[in-house]
Amino acid sequence: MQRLGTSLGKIQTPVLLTIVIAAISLLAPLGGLAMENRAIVMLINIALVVGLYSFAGLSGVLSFGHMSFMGIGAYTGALITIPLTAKSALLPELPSFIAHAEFSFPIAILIGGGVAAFVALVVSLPVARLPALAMSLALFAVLVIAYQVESNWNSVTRGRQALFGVPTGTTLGVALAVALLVIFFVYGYQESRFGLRLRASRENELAAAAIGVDVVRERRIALVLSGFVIGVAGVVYAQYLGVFTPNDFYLDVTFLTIAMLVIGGTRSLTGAVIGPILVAVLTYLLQRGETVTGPGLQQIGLALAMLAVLIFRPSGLSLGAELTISSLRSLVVRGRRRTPSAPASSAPAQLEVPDEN
Amino acid sequence: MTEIIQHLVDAAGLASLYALLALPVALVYGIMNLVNFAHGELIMIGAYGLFIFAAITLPLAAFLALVIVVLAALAMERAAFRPVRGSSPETLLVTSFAVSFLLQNAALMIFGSRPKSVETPSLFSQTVTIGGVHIEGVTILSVGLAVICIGGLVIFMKRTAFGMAMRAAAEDFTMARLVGIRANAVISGTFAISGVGAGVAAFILVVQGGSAFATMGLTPVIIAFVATMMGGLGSFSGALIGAALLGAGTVAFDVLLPTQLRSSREAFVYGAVLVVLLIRPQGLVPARRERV
Repeated sequence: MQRLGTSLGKIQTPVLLTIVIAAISLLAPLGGLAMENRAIVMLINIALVVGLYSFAGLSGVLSFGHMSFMGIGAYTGALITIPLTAKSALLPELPSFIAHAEFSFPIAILIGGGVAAFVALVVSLPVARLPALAMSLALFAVLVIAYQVESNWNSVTRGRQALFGVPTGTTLGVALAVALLVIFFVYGYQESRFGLRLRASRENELAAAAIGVDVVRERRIALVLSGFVIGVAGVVYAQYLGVFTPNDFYLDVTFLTIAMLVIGGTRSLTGAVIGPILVAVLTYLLQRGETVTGPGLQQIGLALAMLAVLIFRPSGLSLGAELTISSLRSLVVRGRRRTPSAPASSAPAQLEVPDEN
Repeated sequence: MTEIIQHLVDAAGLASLYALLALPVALVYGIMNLVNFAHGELIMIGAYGLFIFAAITLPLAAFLALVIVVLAALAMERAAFRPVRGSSPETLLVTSFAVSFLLQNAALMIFGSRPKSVETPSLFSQTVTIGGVHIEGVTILSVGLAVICIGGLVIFMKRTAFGMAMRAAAEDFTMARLVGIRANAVISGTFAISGVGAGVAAFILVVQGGSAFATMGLTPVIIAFVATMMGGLGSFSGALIGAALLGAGTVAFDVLLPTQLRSSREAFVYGAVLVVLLIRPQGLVPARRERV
């Protein structure tokens, strides 16, 4: 086991996460179409939350604005994949360079991500220079701006009316592939020197600046990369829904993704992956409960779960640790040796294993 | 000339309302580093309070609604923010975000998603015309309440022992505790004051919009955030200046934008604020710097 750990070396965390996610994705279709759709949504949420983590988790600056990049990716991806004839009927006043563009799904994913990354770059010009807390609020203003533009730019987005006719290319396989690529991409960034500098600024901004880290620049890079990842997830989500409105990229999804990240733990990639998995289970159970209590239980339950984590376990269920072979093994060993009076607190940072493991 | 005065009057009305929204948020942030997302839900609670008590005479309904908002503010602090007190500002912010979402959905569950209309006296919907300038009743109400509340707050902060304790706590919380100021009392007091601000703002918003609904706290809280951010987080005078400029900017964009873009007025206002922040990242009136 030890040798396996060293030979897998630095990529053991994303590999282990891949195993977990792939296992869920393979088992889900056994539960029927409804379960398969839940798995697709969960995988897209993983991509979104990991994208959010690549900025908020690594920099320590909470963002209320990242779902604006999701909307930008979704609209861009939809506008360049809706078949030409349908598009001219749906949006007759579209600028001609978009009106005559039709791309395949994979190209659309890249273009959607690219446009979102470009917008993130423009946003980062003023925003990345702000103090951390003001930055969180400024990104929230960005979300409002994006929502207003999407809601009022009738010739391109159909405004508040639904945009429909989007090809539904997102299958379980596509969602799984995108989620895994996002995990490896963000892990690569996290372990690169850029990610290391950004994490240094998260631990202590002044100390990082003192050893020569350009904090503003690192945050700007993170904003653009996370914008790309979330834009990609937005394209995939749009191609899952087929029909959407600006409300799909506004407060509900912002709350949902932040809750998932907080519940999983903002300070590790593992947290960003297990958060969406746990919330998927919780949502399923709460939706069952809603048949008794009426609608609303789902949101209230999620908010209470998030508050409970913030109060009792502020670093999230992952405790900020990454899933590794040694952490798994010590978990197994601890489980075997556990005696009724054994104190658990003296153990090194342990991982909470999600139900699916 | 009349036209310019008219715009100035409109801007003053809006700026007064915005100041009433921004000041409590700045106050709470100054005391405990919490940017309170759930402040909007205090306003929402106030509006539903007015809806519930509207059957009795309005002054009494307004008073009861105010009491409920203050109690809600105190309960919020006790239940959600006291357990996480002293955490990083980001944790506090995300906690208040969760509280906001919780209260919004609880309101949706209790009152449903359709707005509840609240009868207000026709006095406030009348317009006074002085020399060709139309002044709406709501404008007079906002300016009057803002002057009373902000003036009262200033006197309270400067003249009373509790006000001085609050200012000391905002300056340096640890030091204030060392000289015997009770942390719990100061923080609860600050939340009570923010509750009063929210209740007054709820009254103006209900008079203006005529209804109470679950998501009505969102726009006010965004305005409060943008105003405090533009003024400089943690600075009281900054929050007032930010609110004034935001009110003026909103009226200016309303006048200058072509009709088809007017519906995305807020997008332009917030975009302009981001440009201001590009030039002054610390805000217009930067709060004192953290010592290293």
